[in-house]
Amino acid sequence: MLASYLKLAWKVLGRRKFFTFVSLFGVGFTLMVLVVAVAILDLSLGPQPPEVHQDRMLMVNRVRLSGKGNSSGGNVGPRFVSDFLRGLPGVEQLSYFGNVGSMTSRLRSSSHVTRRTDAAYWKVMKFDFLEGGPFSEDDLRNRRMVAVISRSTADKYFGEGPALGKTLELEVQRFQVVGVVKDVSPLRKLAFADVWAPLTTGRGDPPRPELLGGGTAVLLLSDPAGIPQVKAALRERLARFQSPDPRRYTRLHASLDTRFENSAREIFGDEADDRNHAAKLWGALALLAACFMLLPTVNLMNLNVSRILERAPEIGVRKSFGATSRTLVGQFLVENLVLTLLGTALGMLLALGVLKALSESALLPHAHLGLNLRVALAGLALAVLFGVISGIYPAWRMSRLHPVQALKGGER
Amino acid sequence: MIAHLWKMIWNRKRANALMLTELLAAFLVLAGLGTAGAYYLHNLRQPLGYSIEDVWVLGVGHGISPHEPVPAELMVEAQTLAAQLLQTVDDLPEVEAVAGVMTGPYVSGYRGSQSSDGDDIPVLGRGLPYDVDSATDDFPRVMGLTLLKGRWFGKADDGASYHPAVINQRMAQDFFGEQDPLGQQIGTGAGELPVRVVGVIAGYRQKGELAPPLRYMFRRHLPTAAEVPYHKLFLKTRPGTGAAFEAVLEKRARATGKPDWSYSARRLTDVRDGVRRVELMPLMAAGIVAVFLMLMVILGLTGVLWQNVTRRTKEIGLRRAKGATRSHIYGQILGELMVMTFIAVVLGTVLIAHVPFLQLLEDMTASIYLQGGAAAALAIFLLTALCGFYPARLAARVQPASALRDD
Repeated sequence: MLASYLKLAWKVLGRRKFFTFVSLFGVGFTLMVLVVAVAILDLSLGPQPPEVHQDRMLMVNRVRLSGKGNSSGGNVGPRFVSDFLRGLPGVEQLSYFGNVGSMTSRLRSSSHVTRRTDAAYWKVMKFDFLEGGPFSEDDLRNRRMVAVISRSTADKYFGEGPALGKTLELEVQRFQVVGVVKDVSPLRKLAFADVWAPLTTGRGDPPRPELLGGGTAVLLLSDPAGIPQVKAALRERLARFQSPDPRRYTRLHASLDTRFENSAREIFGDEADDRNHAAKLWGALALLAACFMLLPTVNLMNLNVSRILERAPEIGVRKSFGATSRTLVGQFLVENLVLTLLGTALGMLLALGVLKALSESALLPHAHLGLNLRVALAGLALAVLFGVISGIYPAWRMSRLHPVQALKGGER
Repeated sequence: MIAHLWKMIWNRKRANALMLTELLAAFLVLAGLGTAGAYYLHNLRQPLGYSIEDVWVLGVGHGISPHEPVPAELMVEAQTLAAQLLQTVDDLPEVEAVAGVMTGPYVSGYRGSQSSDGDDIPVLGRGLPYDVDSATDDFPRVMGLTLLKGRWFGKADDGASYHPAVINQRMAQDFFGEQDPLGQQIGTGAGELPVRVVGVIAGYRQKGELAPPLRYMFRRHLPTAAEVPYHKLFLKTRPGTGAAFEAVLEKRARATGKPDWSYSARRLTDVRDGVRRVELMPLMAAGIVAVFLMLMVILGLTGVLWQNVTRRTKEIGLRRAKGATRSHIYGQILGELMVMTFIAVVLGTVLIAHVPFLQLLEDMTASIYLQGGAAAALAIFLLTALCGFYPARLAARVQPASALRDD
């Protein structure tokens, strides 16, 4: 049965070349845009290296102090980490690291994005080390001037070839290279940098122990199921906050979020509200996709209806010989799915080209955009959805045709 | 005539409903595009409020953050060095004016707001958020700011019992309306002293040419131990100062400040170009997608209309046989299409007017929506006319004989 449907679908596609072309163009282009969007989303938020443990990772990057008429927000300071994050239940690793900053090299007159981190950072993130390895707790304690650098930084600064053990001079600091890692895309907010150096190598005084500061803390739990407990434990600790300066500040706000929740919070809320905005972000993304797909879907429906009316005599014959409405709907849906899947294949090919061009262009540096399994499956799911929605109304119209009218050439 | 066309459309309402939906969706896409375009055009036409020609920015990385208390002696030392640095730069022959600034244009800065959180001061401007920056006395000369009312802060404010502040016109409007903004108080600053408005400047669209005019306030930056030293020096150079100035500036700065301070000199126009590239990228992507969507609509509509014409051969042939000319047929096919487009535009306008997020975007005025909608309506009429042209030509070529033949 299915085989004959497929054969029929193929024949129909060949019959009206213009319609087939327009449909394939529409489906292919729509899917291409969606796949590219999904790939960029996956690159910035998906569980890609170095952030492979996202299912059991929680982060906090904003803290807010508030009081009577006063409120002051900022990134996480070292004292917030020591007083509120250390010793939370079920936490396997706790890493605290600074925001990225730019350091220039006078020698090469180049600028490098630098991030200062602790040693646990390398356990929370899984970088691909091409040479050497991360710096250690011991390096931090002794304030050793060592650094991990990215492949492209190594190439830019030292030229091709191994960079291990060489000296990188940035502003007034000289770092010995202990590791070289694969480039990370700037879209990966927590991992991206060109140069990673120990937190204790900051210039001037060591960071002051303050609640607000210039860093981010990431917690790696031993078990994803422990996420609610950890979140609740932090809330409890914050509720017991004793302000050192109650005249100005009385309350301290911060939330532990997953990577996705954190992005949602940045868009829909701030660190001072306890709500979870992830559902809102999913909703917004779905709405955006729906809005985008509306026009192509209606377009395809329209073409499908025209195509069906052209085939009215055939439908009339089939109905006269006893085909039920359901059979006809099924047949038409299969035909439409064949069309959309062909379009999808085309769209995926186009998307591959666009992603390759995007990866190579300077728009998104170090972005290794590609079709991984997650992206391809998401694209396929969207394609099937697209095919069913755009096929169901025309199929219903088709099944409702009266045989007599259909034999005469369709409805008016 | 139109009533008749309407009847023709109504008679084929099932076939036309879907086409109407497509036209409606296309109109909505175009309206979104048109509104975004009108919004940016509107912003571009607003006064920027400053000039960035020959302005350089020297980032001063002193590593002191406003959120961390710093030992007083360290702060005094930093402020002294910062004041020296300002003087050094001012003494350079290429420099006409220089000012120390916390944020400056084109980058994100600090956002303040007045909340009614247990405060006895009446809340001004309905607690609307505004951006705050602080600058030294020469900032208007560097940036060529236009004062509308009052004055910029300066020596006259030394030792005053208030913190002087200059706000932009938008903020004066939103906070004080018809009242005179000069002398009004906006919250309290350090030492519980009131922050008082001493002047109003035009525009100052801090995020640049494409951004809307937001509420903005400047506080006077003072080299006291209670304040963080400025993060940037903005300097106006003599016209024709070349790129080599960057190295000169950085070198002089390095010779003055502490060895662990970092400096980066850039032309403000370069900063602007970088920011604009990032700003335009999503717009370009959306534009390209919209163009392809429209191409899809054009091809799709042409296909459907073509199909309709072949299905209506008999009807058209009959009209021709009864004496209708080719231009009558053209008129009918295109006229029906235009009536449908009109219905779609009306429906779309009603739909857009009921969208709740219209009021959410504070800077979008009714006239921007109207301009965007008008542009979209014009575009969709042109687009459908383009789609209808070839099918209408086919229809006009129908031979009367084909209506009488029964196949």
